[in-house]
Amino acid sequence: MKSSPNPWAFLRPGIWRVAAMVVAVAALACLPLICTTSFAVGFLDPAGTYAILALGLNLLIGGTGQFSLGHAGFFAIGAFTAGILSSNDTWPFWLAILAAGIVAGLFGGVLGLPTLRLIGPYFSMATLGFGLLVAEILGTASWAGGRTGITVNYPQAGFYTFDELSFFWVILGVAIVTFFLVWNLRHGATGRAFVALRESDFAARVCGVHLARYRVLAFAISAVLAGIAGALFANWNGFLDASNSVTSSTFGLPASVAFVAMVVVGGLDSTFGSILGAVFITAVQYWLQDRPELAETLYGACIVAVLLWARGGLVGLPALTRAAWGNLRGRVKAGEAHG
Amino acid sequence: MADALTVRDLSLSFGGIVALDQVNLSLEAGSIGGLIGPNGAGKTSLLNCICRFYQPQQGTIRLGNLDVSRRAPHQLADHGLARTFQHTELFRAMTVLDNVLVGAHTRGRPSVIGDALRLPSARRAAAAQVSLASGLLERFDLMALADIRAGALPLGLQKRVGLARALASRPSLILLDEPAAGLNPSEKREIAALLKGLQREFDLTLLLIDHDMDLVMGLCDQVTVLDFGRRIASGPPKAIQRDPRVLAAYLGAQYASALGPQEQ
Repeated sequence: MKSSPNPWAFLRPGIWRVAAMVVAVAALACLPLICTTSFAVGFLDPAGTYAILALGLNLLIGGTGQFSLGHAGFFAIGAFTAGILSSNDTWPFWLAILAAGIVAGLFGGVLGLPTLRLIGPYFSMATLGFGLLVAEILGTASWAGGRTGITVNYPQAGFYTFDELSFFWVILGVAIVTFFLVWNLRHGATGRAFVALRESDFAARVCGVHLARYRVLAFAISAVLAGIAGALFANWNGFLDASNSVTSSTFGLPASVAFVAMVVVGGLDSTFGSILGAVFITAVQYWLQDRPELAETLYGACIVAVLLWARGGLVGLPALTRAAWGNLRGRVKAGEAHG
Repeated sequence: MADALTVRDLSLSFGGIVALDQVNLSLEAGSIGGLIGPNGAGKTSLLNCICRFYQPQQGTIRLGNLDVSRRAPHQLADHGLARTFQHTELFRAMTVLDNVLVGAHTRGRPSVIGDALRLPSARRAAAAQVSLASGLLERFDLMALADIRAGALPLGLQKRVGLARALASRPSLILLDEPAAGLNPSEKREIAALLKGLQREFDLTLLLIDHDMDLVMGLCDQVTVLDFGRRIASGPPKAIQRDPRVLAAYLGAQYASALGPQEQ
């Protein structure tokens, strides 16, 4: 559309972007070779897992503007589906992960239909209730392990048995595939329809956008990815503890809040921001693992700071800094002119 | 010629408040119809009934020969209906180009799988939509603004984007809710010329609400007047301007009767 003096200019951002991605992925893939098991379990595996969840949740929250406070419910459904299916070595782990995504997606569709007319705080409250309900049921049901929990064996592929370190490659693979699928979806006609509904559902419907279909779709996609993330969690964590799950930071309300924090702090409606946010919040949780209340305070403060001063989140910081720098320089120049 | 839009005995009330009372309206294909009346007369309510946002208690709405009284709002774009809004209702956070691309939504029929995997079918549809939208942006002199956030534009430009978005579904009938409201006199003349040109170029039927009588009377082939939800007059602009009931509705009965004889 825009003419450019250099006929090869269009290649440049593409080449650099692809090169940067290849380097980044290669660096990430090397991490399990050099890091400790506790670093893998405390940071690498959860960061990758939550990135997958945040990618889906950002389509819902950032794309359609529907704030869910119940995605820990889908994460738990995925975790327990995979945990139960693979705990007695009946299902191969990858099939159990797939099944977890499908089951969570079905729950997402079932919850999405009645809540599709709800907007703003009403939608948040409905999803909050769902999250609490799932946690409550899992915390008391005997098939979910009850007070003893469920032990999940290390996943096997042929003769190879994964451990906490090598399983990161599986997580990384799923995260990369998810990133591209979500990126394509967001930047295609489907993503446009999501955002159009967020901006003006009247105008979007006049344009032919089927409100129910797209709201339920966004919800179901985010549920599928939360379910897959939960299933991955079950595999590297090796143990699912359902007791006290309403207040637990893995399956309860604190987890749902942390998921929203990932999306908001990373950058609303930004595919890349979802990953940054998941990594950032996981890092905060890892470095403050002995002081969980401090971690929650910190990312609570991050949400407030982002909403007040940096709506673009982490991913918007470069642009914000540039603008602030330009502003400062402008002021200095104006001051010189006056002086 | 056949009618592009037929509204029969349409009644709408909210609780005890009657918004529309047995309203009739028909619009010949290829013509420009005007809908006027004092504030609160029910003009926008009628538009919202036609777009199926409101469910009237009584009456039928036809687009051409098709009864759409029971259709859902998103289905009407397929039957050639488009609309602009009084407060533009642009997708403010989206670029100008993306706004027009949403207008072309029904021409792409996106599928999740196709979009997520960038299947050739999805890419072909996207390319077709982009070329359609680019053509419209050229037509409306908006090409230079294609990548600007729609919410950042001044009102006059936002109204043009709204029109381009409406045209992107290749409609045969466009409802225009106050296309000239908030514009300065030169912008108003521009939009009148633009509407006239578009109507010929794209072979459209237009139904427009506006408070600017010069615009309505200069542009419309036929004008319908609403007052308190009732149709009080309908006909060519010349006759409407002299109709004592219309004068009474706009000016109050005593002034109208004082004015009436001199006008005759």
